[in-house]
Parts: sequence; C-alpha cells; structure tokens
Amino acid sequence: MSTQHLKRILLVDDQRDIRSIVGLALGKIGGFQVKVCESGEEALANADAFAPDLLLLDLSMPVLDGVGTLKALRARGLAAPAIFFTARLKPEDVGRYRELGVLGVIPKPFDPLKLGAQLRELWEKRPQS
Amino acid sequence: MNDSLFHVLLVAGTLAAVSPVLLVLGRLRGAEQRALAEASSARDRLHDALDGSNLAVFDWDTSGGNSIHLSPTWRAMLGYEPAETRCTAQELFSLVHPDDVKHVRDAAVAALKGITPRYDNIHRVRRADNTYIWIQSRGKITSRDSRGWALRFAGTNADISARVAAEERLKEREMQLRQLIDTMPAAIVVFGTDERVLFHNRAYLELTGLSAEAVNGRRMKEVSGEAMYAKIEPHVHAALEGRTARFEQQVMDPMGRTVDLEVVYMPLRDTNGRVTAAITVRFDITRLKDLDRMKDGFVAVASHELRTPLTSMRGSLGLLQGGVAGELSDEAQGLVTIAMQNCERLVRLVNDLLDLEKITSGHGAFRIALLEWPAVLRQAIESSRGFVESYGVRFDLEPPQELRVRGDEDRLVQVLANLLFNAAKFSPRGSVVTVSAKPLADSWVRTSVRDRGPGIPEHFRSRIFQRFAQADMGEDRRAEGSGLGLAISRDIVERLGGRIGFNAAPGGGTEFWFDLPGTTEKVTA
Repeated sequence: MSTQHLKRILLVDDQRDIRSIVGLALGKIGGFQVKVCESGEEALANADAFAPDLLLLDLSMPVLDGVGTLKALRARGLAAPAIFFTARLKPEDVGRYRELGVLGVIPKPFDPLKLGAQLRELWEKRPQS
Repeated sequence: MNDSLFHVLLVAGTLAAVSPVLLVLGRLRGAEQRALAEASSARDRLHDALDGSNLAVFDWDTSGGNSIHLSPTWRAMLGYEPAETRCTAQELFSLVHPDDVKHVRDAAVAALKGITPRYDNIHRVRRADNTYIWIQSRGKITSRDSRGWALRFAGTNADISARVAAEERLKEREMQLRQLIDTMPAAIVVFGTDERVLFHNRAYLELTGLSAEAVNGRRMKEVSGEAMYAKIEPHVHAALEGRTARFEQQVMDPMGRTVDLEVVYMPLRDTNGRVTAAITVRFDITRLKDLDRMKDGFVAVASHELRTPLTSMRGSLGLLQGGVAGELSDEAQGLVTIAMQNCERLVRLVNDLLDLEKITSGHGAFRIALLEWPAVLRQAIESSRGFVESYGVRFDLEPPQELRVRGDEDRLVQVLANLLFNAAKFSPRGSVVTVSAKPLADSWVRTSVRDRGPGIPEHFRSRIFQRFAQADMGEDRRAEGSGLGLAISRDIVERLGGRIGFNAAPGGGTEFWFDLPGTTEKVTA
C-alpha cells in the first residue's frame, strides 16, 4: 500500500452541483477514478465493490453525515484514509476530526483546479501501515 | 415638632400625669407655708412645661361627681381660646369621632375597673371647625377606695395629628414603593446577616413558585433548598462580607420552563458602612439569550447557506477557466475571470462578516499563548506570498530581535495578513513593504507594516477602521477587499488588550502598527 499511487477516490456529497464539479475536477482534470455517491447509505452500498484509495466525505448531509458515514464504513472494515469536505468548519471541531483519523479537512469553496493536488498532498502524508 | 422633642414632652407629660404626689399637692390644705410654696412653684413649673408642650392634662374625679377638669391647652387643641375646661364625661365623649367612641369607652372602662394598669388610646376628636384631630390619650387611676373603686383618673391628651399624618404619608410612600418593587420585572430578595429573609417582591414568588409564608423570615437555605443553596452559598457569604457577585444562571421555573437569569448579589450597608443585610436581584434574560441563540443559529446557517452556492459557482467557473468545457475565447476567458473574482470577493465578505461577528460577540474564544514573534511574522509573510506576487511587491522583514508577544496566533496572523494585503494593494509595483517589530516600554511590542504607497487621503483617516470603510481608490482596487479587514484587525488587537493605528511614514507611504503586551520571559513550551 505504501508504494501505491492515489487513483480511486470515493466522493460522498448530498449536493448535485458539488458532485458534478468535484467529479469533473478530479476525473477530467485530476485524472483520478471517481465514484460519486449522494448519501452515506449509497457509499456503504458501493464502497466494497469500488475499493477506494481515498474517501472524500461531505460533513453535513441528511440522515448519515460525514462522521456517521466514516464510522459506518470503518465498521465494515474499510481502511481507506478519509478527508472531510465542509462549508462550515469550526476550529473547535478540527481536533475531533483528527481523532477520527481523517487526513484533513478541505473547506468549501475550493479551487477545482487545485483540488486534486490538495488531495494527493494530504494522501501522501497518510500514516503508513 | 421633631421626634425627640416630642418624646421629651411626652415623658414630661406622662410623668406629671402619673405622679399622684404632684396632683395631691394641689389639694393640700393647711400644710406648712414652705411646703406650699414649694408645691406651688413645682406646679407652676409643671404648668409652664405643659403649656409649652401642647399636652392637655385631664383630671377626672370619679368618686362622686361626674366632673372632668382639663388644662387650658385642651381648648387650644380644639381651636378655642385657651381656658380651663370643666365638663362631664358625656360631654367629652360627644367630641370623639363616632367610629372611635366604642374603643375609647372600652379602654376607659378597662382602666377604671383595673383590668388594664394604664389607659393608652389613640382616637379622633372634633375641633371647633368640625374637623378632627388625632389625639393620644394616656392616663391611669391615681387613687382607689378600700373597695377598689376608682376615685381619680388622671392623664394627658396630646395632639398627634402631625405624627399620624406623617405616618400615613410614610405608609402611602411605602405602599407605592412596594407596588413599584412588585411590578419590577426582577426577582428581589433581601436577607439579614443571619441569612433570614427580610424582604422579597412578587416576582421572587413567581420565579420560585413559593408562598410568602414559605419565604418571609426563613433562612436562605430553607427557601432555596439544599441543592440550590450549595450553589449560591459562596455568593450569600460574599455579599454578607461586603462583596458583589454577578453571574448568569439557568433555572427551571414553576411551570417547568427553563429560565436564563442574570443574578446579582450585593451587600446592603448602614450609614456607618457596616453590612447589615444583602440583596439578591435576578433579572430574567431568557429573551436576550433566545435572541443570542437565534443569532448563533443564523450565523451558522448563513455561513453554510451562503458558502454552498458560492462553492458551486466558484467551482464551475474554475472548471470553465481550466478548459473542462473546451478552450475559451479571450472574451469568454475575460468574463469568466470577472465572475470568478467577484465570487471570491463574496466568499471573503462572508468569511469576514462571520469573523467580525464571532470576534465582536465574544464568541470564538481566543487561545492566548506566549508567541515567538519573529516566527509568527515569518509565517504571516510566507502565507501572504501568493497575492503579493500578483501585486509585484516584495516583503522585507527587518532582522527581528528575540521578541515574545502574548496573543492568539491564528488571530494575529489574520491581523498581519490584513495589513500585508492592504500594504501590497496600495504599493507601486516593484516596491518594498517593510515589516518590523521592536520592543516598547513595559515589555510591550510594536509591530509595523510600512508601504511606499500614496498615503491615506486626509478625509479618510478618521474612518479607516470603520466597517465597510474603503478609500476611494477607483473601482479596480475597491473590488478586491471587503472593507472589513481593518475593522476586524482593530477588534482582534483590542480584544487582546492592545492598540492599533497608523502614521504617515517619513519619506512617503504609510506605516500601520499595532502594540501588544509582550514579555521578556523565555517561552516555556
């Protein structure tokens, strides 16, 4: 795993606009393989088959939010590192996210042309197992 | 008549009235001349005293004739020419106010029969002009026969109308105050040094759901209950020791609603400054708190709801610019750039507004630490490099000394970023912006950012730290900032106990500076 490159990214975001922008930014521009899910439930249904290298999770989603989705995926044995995506970053929450083992939090709005590079940079710093 | 004089006279009058010796003196016959002379002069003195005192002496011979003798003051009291009065009990009673007749008669009968040792009664009597005055009538049976029948009944009548009127005014004032305090929307309770309740208002009963009986005269511990008392005990003691305490508290009212209170415990002092009691005032601030919570909610929602569409717009424009939808013509590229810049400006505005709200509302707690200042300056310059390049200016950090500043690193980097951004924005291309820090007296530290720009227009200087204040620098440059940067910077610096300002720099340009408390101690991380 340590020599592996970042290829497969699973994106979970409840907003259609963001899904298409991130899909294009990471797929067409970034050259990644992207699986786009609109809910935590959909991510749970597809995660195993897709086998992502990285999870990109929106924090505020109805029913299952980013934290809930990550916990559910971890409970099912998915070990891929995760990055949160949020328009409402509170400094006091950063410590809590770190405890969950996420690599980082990317604030919205983001620059779609730089998103891929940002994700790769965070991914390279992941703890090696 | 003042109170003390009144008392002296009453005592004098009462003494005279109850001293049978003096009265008997007047009836002595065939006594020695010397004794008579002495008695006579004693009586004169007494009469003089009584005349000056407005006390009317009554002397009722109850042995045989139904005759009452009253001193001249009595007639004066009733509005006639002063003269000795001789009348019957019936005549005297006819002057008494109809509502008071019964209790005057009862009191007199009780004294005559020896049921009460003294006669002391307050009632109204009619004056010559048919108005009534209040009199205090005091006396006793001065002699009885062998069977115990009263022979003489003597005493004084005093006009106490002024006192009664004053008491009534006082009562009325007290009632008005009481009503005022009861209509106040604050729960008030006063307790003595023994922690017993001396006073409370209606709002206190409404807040606690207690009855007046459950509060009056009871100890604070009993009134508030063990659990609550454990919480308030330090404040109760503090107030009784002369200290004031103010804090916020959340309690459940009798209806089960949560109520936010601002509570004040304060000592009450006598004229010598000694603490004699303490007062507790509880203001219901639930509505204020609700508004505050609503605002917090609004800020959270606004932050999310505004950023979400901006994210989509910014993202889509970025992708267009990146050629996702094919190569753009120059015109299209120009238009997309305008849209994107304005999008970014909106994002900055939203961020700045939220920052400002957080800072001014006292939310967004500051993490105060002792900062190695040169490192912070370097970091601020480093993270500003991106936009500096676009303005074609260079930052120069004057070799900083070992300096430490007490503050919140993130916030101060924000202040520096604002100052650096402004300096870069208003500097001519190719110029240098100098950042420096130097120690001031009392281990304060001054940090300066100096540009080589055109300087700040005279008319704008007084408004420069106001929100949305932007100098008229032409559309191009105005569009780049939110107009909140300096307002935010000032709020941050002031919340850290510092000050911020600017000077025209010698040789042109402007120097913005802020001073913060630092320390000469070594940082121990």
